[in-house]
Amino acid sequence: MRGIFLGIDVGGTHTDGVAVEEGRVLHKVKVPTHADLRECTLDALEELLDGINPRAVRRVVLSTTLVTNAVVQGDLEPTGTLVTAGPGISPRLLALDDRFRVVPGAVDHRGREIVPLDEEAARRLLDELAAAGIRVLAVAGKFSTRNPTHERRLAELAGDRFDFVALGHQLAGTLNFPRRIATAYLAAGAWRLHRTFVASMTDALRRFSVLAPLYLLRADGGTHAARTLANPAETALSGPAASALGTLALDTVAAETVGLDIGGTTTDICLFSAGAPLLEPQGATIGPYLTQIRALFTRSAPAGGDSWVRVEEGEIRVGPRRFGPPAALGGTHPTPTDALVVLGRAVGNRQRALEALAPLANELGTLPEEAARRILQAWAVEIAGAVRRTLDEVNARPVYTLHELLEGHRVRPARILAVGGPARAIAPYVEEAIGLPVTVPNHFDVANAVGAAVARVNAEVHAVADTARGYLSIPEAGVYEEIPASFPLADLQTRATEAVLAAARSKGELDPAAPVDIADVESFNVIEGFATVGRIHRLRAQIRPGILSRVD
Amino acid sequence: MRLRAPQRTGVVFFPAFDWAIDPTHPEREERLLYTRDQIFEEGLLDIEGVVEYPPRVAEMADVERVHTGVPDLETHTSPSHLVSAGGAIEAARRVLDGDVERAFALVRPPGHHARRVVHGLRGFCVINIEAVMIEHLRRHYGGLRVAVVDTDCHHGDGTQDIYWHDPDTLFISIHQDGRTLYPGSGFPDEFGGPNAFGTTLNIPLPPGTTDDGLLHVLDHLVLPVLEEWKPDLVVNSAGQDNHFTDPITDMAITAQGYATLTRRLRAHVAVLEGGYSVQSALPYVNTGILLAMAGLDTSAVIEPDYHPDLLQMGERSRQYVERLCELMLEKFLRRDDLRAEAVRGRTHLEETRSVFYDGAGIREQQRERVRVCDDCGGTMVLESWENPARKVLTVELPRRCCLACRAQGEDAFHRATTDEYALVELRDRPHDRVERKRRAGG
Ligand SMILES: [Zn+2]
Ligand SMILES: [Zn+2]
Repeated sequence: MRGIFLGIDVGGTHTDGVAVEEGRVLHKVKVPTHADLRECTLDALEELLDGINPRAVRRVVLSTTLVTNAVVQGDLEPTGTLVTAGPGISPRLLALDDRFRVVPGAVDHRGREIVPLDEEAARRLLDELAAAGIRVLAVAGKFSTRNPTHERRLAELAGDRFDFVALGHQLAGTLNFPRRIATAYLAAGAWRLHRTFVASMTDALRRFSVLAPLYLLRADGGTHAARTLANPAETALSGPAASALGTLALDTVAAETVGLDIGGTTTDICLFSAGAPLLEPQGATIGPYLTQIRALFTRSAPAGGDSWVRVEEGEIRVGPRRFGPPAALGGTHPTPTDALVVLGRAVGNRQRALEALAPLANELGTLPEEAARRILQAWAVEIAGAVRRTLDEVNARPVYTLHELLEGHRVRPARILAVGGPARAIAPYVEEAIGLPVTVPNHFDVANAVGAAVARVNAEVHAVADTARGYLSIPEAGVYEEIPASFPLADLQTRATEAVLAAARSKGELDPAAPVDIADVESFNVIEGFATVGRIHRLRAQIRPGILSRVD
Repeated sequence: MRLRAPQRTGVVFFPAFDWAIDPTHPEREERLLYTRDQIFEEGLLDIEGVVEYPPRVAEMADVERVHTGVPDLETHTSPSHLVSAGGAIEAARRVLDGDVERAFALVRPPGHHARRVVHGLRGFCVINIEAVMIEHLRRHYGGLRVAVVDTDCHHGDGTQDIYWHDPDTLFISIHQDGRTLYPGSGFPDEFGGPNAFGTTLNIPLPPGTTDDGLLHVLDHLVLPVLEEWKPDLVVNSAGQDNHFTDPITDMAITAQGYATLTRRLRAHVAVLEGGYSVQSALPYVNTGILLAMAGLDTSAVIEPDYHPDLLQMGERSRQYVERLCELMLEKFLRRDDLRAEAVRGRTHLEETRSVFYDGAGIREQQRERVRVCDDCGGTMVLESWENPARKVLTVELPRRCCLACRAQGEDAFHRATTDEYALVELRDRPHDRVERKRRAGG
């Protein structure tokens, strides 16, 4: 793919941007993040375009905290939730707020309708929600990924009284009803906010004479054309995804590798295996919500350059609390950044850094320079602990076959790639604390923006063929149709491959080099009474998260 | 926004999707497939306070502590058994370590028909996973008084055999009457060996017994017995084949019945046993058990096939169950007197029996002789053979073996020759050791 790629990552304190062409960074910018995310995005864009022909821009990719902020600050639009449940957990336990309604109707684990949808009740509940001024709706049915008929019918009944209706089965094909409810709820609640943001960004690009499409980065590190994004909540957690992909772009990640993004507030950890970042097995957690949103597996340790440093019982402690900027940059509390400033490894007011560290040095009975070194060691030990816990977590993931349990692969990384502002200065300490070689690539200070710029389109679909029931379902692709009893696994593979490619195309320009992987293939006999009456085939097709090109 | 469990509950889920006895056997790959779908769809493993633990792989030493294998244990023990038993061990350890209050080992293959001596596959079982678990716990956590409440539809004859002489293990089996179902045993007069009289209780229920019948047994017999016996640990062998849709049994229990039983029994560890209605029962029953263990509302766990009219228990059956509970409780409370009568004037009790292995198509003969002892579980000497030319002798010294029993057991082991027996074992429980003599040439 030729042309200039612009990547902008709106972080907590800084908004970073890069312009990349053919694997080279043309420009990088850093502007302060404002309360109004549009403003800082436009600031970054304006600086990036300085000296660049806007018509040569091929894509603009934004990674924003718009939705995350709205979730955390409770700024989602009031959303009506309609669910169908059936046997199992009492649906009232799953209510996310008081606009949650249960419609009689149920589908079982095979996708068979066991209770018909009560349309009368549905109409009444919809009227009620509409009368209460609700304009967006989340619809989720238990086992709707096996049979979406009830969800679809509820959308029809909702009609045009609602501006937007999120259907759970379309947003993720996996099984998890409570997460399906939360996913649809966030999709509906963030819809208007997202639409307004995209409209204003699209206008702005036009004003800058940029004709290239606007993409948003998702939590799984995939780009999605802003105008076709059905679930804006997928853009939450795109920040850690951006730096993971940046890490992938800035160095060769062949062996198993730990990625560290060392920032002001936190250090984010991701893992690479076989050249691709690992994914969260269930989905992203956004604020208090467990969702089905596909996300890269990242863990955050509250130990960054701005974390509060103090001495407790003769031991140096770093984080988890933070009190504004480092002392050397006008703050009040000592931080690892102050230690870097004292040692001349970071820019800042050295006098103020020394003053901030003096009481610690006194307590430790040593000189400020030595105290600074010990603070960096303690910081690195904190990071090393978080890396170890992350690896333990990944290696303790449950498996359900003897083969995987007995022969199962354990993640054992051979090296670490570190990015983020203080990465170069802290690298030797981290190397010593973890005992693995640490590499800090070029452009480590804008790796997140690089990741946004070169992230490729990815996609995933889940496909189930139940030949005994005679149905094929690929929920993410809107496929739900009858199949003959002879439908073989190979046909399911073909259908899923077509579906994942179509899903990817709807998200934007495809990387022709990106292969479709077929994973999690299962095929079981269906036995009723004592006779085999059919087979259930299941699989997942995906284009894995990845990058369009390396960046040097 | 995350559902929180009032009781911290561990789950070891290991469906072994790549293992079957054979492809159309009820114990086959997809037995827990629909259960997994239901558990995942309900989001049960996302509940705060419900913690999933991967199974551990049990060691051969754990299996050896319970079983004698003929010709050896390795012949019968596959990785699937070690993982299934290991799953039960992991679940129980998490409870004893205080990580969770209760735990459910949702594992397969099952084990409650596996007896002390293993010649092959019996009632879908080879290794008794509860017994392997319990003996592992005793080895690592000290001498526990353990009650096993077996609610599988089939009599837990394997577990009964293993704990027949153990005064520290109370085994209670509630099952469909043996005159109407495999394995054909489990009658009220099976009450424990001479040194463990009353620590085996069998409650055979008439076909068609409903939730009301089952819960009557729980409330009027099982709970009072547990109250009186005061175990340190309660284990539920949670078979699910008395469900009204089970294809190989004739009972009428529902998911609500299982959930209520689980809530009232308050077992520390539940271990899945049988249950072969893989689509209509298991997804709902397992959801009900898990929710009940976690202390959450189970009122909506109602099977699609459920219809209250179908599940009425006859008046005669109801009266029979009520009377049986009264008699059994009375007998249990008089167990010491009854034992004194049974062993009066005897130094040893001897029994012969024949055991059929439906999975292997073989018949084993056993002759068992146990020392009557007031101080311990009594030394037991067991001869077993399928082929009379290849007899096996095992001598078992019980966990708290007294000096007299030890002397007699060691003497029996030393006197037995490999001319007479293909294999002689001294199973020294106090020292957690098995000593063997084997006939040369296999
Ligand atoms: Zn059974
Ligand atoms: Zn004794």
